[in-house]
Amino acid sequence: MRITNVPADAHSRLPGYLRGRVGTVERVFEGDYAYFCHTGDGIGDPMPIYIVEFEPAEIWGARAEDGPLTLYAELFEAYLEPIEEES
Amino acid sequence: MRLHETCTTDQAAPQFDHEWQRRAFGLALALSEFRHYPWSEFQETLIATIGEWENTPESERGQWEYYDHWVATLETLVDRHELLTAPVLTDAGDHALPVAHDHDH
Amino acid sequence: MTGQFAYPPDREEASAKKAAALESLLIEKGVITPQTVDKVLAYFETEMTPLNGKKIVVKAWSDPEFAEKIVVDTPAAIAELDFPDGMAGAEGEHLQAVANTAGVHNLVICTLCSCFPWPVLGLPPYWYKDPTFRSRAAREPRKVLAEVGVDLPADTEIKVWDSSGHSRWFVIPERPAGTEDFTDEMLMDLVTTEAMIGVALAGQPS
Repeated sequence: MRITNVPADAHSRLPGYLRGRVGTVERVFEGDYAYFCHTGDGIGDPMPIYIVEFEPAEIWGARAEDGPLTLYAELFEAYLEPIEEES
Repeated sequence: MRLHETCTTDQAAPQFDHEWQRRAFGLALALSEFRHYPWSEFQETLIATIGEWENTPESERGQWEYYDHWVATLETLVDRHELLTAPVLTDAGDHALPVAHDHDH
Repeated sequence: MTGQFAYPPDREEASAKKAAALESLLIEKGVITPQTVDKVLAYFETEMTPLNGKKIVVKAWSDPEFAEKIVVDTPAAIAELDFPDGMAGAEGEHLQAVANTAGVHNLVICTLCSCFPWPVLGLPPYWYKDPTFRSRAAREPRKVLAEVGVDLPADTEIKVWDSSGHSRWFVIPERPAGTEDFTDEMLMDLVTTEAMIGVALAGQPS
């Protein structure tokens, strides 16, 4: 499944450089993880956490570094939205 | 900014540049161990504090000093949880207990 | 003289004073005792050290079953070793090991602040928390690694793990060649905090 990051506001657990980028879910943490309080960007209620894999070209475009490189970040479900499978 | 040549930590050197930083570290941890706030809350507040610094223009924000943010975070949490203002409850062992209050933010 | 180059000693003092004041006031209020901070620090500084991480790495090097388990179910594997209590506390609940192999090199960072696997590596080094390192390591890790003496073959994949959630990653570096006859003690000497973060290889001289 491919997912995209939701634009989020400043006070959050979403690294800025990943906002609006597309990644692939690599692993899901079962169960629900709560944030300590509502942050205004959709997290606060318990929800799963995902490890998401990103291609550097997707994040940095032409400025991406050469050489095989993959970046992984952990993101709360609220930061993700599904996009349609490309056929 | 160039990193130090070998980027290695001298294991024998102290972890902190100053004693006050070491104590601020211990204090933040202690308050969490005593359940005044979950550690994730300290972290999230620290993230927000660092984020504010990073979003301030360079000319206005001053040097990067990690422990400035640590202490600011401590202050914020002490205020938020009214640790200095709410009455202190103690258990049978005369240990201070966290005051229960609603997290309705 | 521009503001950028002026050393602001008063800012450091301000934080130092605030920290001291907070501790005094909390002691005065009875929230903590005068010994509390010392006790917490003493525990942390003796029990939460990179020695734990080194033991894990050396065991992974010698025991293939453990090597597999440590990456598949890190907390369960760690529980097999006799580590002190508090491993599952702050920064220890979701430890996750990632192993370097011939074609893969792992690097752990925290772009948001400085999240770090305390129970196995102790406190993070100052450069790990630095904003420049944190952003450069995400954007140009190969270059950053080369700058600190880690020159990887062009076809080695670099995996960067951003500790933005609750997992606390650490790296199991590759065992250096020619160490088949080494004792555990000798092997432990080859493992550094830097190697377990991913900015060095095991056995690299410091």
